[in-house]
Amino acid sequence: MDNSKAITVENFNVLFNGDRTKHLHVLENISFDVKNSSFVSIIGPSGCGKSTLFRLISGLPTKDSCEIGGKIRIYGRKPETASKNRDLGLILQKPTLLEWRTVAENIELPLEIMGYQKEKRGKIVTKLLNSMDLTPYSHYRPSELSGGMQQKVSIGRALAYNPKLLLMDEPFAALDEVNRRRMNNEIINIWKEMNKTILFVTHNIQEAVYLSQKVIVLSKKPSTVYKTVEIDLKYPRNEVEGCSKYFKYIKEIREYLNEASN
Amino acid sequence: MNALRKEKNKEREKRPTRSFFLNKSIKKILIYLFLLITLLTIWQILLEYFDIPKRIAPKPSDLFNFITKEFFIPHSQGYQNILVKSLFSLRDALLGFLISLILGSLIGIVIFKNTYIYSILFPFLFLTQLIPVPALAPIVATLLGYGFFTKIFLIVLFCIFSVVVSVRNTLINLPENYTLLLHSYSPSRKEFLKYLLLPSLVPTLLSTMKLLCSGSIVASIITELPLSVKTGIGKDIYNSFNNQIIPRVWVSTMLISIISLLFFICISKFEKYINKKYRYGQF
Repeated sequence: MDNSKAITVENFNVLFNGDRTKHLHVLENISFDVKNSSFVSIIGPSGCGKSTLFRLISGLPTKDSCEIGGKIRIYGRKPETASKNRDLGLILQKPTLLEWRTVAENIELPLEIMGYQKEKRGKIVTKLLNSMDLTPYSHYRPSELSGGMQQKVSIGRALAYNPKLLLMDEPFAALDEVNRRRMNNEIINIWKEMNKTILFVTHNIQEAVYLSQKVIVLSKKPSTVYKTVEIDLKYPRNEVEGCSKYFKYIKEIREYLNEASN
Repeated sequence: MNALRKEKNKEREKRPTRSFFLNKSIKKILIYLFLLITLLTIWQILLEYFDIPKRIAPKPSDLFNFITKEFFIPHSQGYQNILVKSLFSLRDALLGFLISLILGSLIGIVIFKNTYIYSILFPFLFLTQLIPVPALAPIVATLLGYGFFTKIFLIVLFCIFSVVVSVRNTLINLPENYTLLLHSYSPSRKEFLKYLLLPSLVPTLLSTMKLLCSGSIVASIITELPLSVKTGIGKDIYNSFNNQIIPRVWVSTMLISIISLLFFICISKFEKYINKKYRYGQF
């Protein structure tokens, strides 16, 4: 087992055999690696199968009409096993918070399911609330928070059981520009401070360049890895945001995306 | 301190006081009372004017006389007035209501989880809804006897379908992101039920309870007719009708309506309280 690789995707193919989507080839020979402790983004045209790939890497159940070929490994294990082993934390497009639980109780949810002792749960939740500046909102209901705060809680919930890998599916897509940038900085801080590996799915080129060390560009259906761009920029990225190299990456990825969409 | 108190009193004096007639709920009650009295008066005048006999339509005064006799004049020992009989029917309705709710939820969850069981069980459940309870009652009674258990069984049969369907529909329509999120924590079936399915079902069950409260009372009354249950308002209405005691039939019907209404109000208040306080199933 290669410990330097958090995710390995090899010759991965997905074919849908639905009533209306007969033999729809969604993903074709997708191969890429995500190194341990790295921040990688996946970007691609709308409907190219980013979310399908995300779902399969997360080990979530797929539709019965879905045929899968190739292999995905998370720290050398199958995604389902890695998920059971608490190796991965999910952050979805919508915050997906339970309205009948408070902010603190939402963060506590995975710990409760995973059978942590009450005392230990309390300590972890208090620590997370403090580190994410959520303590004043601990007794709030999710609907009483803004969209950005809700997503922050969902990140806290994913971090609660300390997974090595965070999988994020367009988590900030619904946020305005100011909040999105604030959350981008927060996620970079979490990645650096907690030494996580992050796979970030997005359709926003600027966000991908701002956050990642590597951007994987997918083509339209049947989706293949069109290009991989290594982002050689220092962190914190807000200091290099205005430099020409930063814009060069954005331009380069935009061109790749245009080519991949045609 | 005194200055503070004086200021507070001044503030209180400044606040506009609510006049008695501005209180909405009192106003509403007064309007209802006025309408009721007007209706009863018109009813009394019309029946007297057209000289309609009591066996066709009793006057409000006949109903009032019956109520006085039934509730305020002492009867022989062992006599059950219509309120007691109604409460017996209500007890059975409540029992059927609870069983339908619990059993219906269980069946709804099972057929949501297992499509095979759904395909086998659902046609049978649907068939029970096609046959009216009074028609089904004699068949069930010959199998299970003419007593209490058959009555409860029939009430459950009458009510359970709506619970099963609404539970299954709610679970089918659960937002996918919530089920995916829970899956990512690899929960056991019990945990999945505890953390997502049951809380999501609360609003559905509460609104289904509102439907069931009248349904179970109707079923309780209807099932008394073909069965040999001794106590119950349904049987009493049937016997009173056969003996041409029409004011008794009218008052009994009104009493059932009032009981159903009160039951409905209680469930509505309960629903409002739970939904507001706990916010279960709100996505």
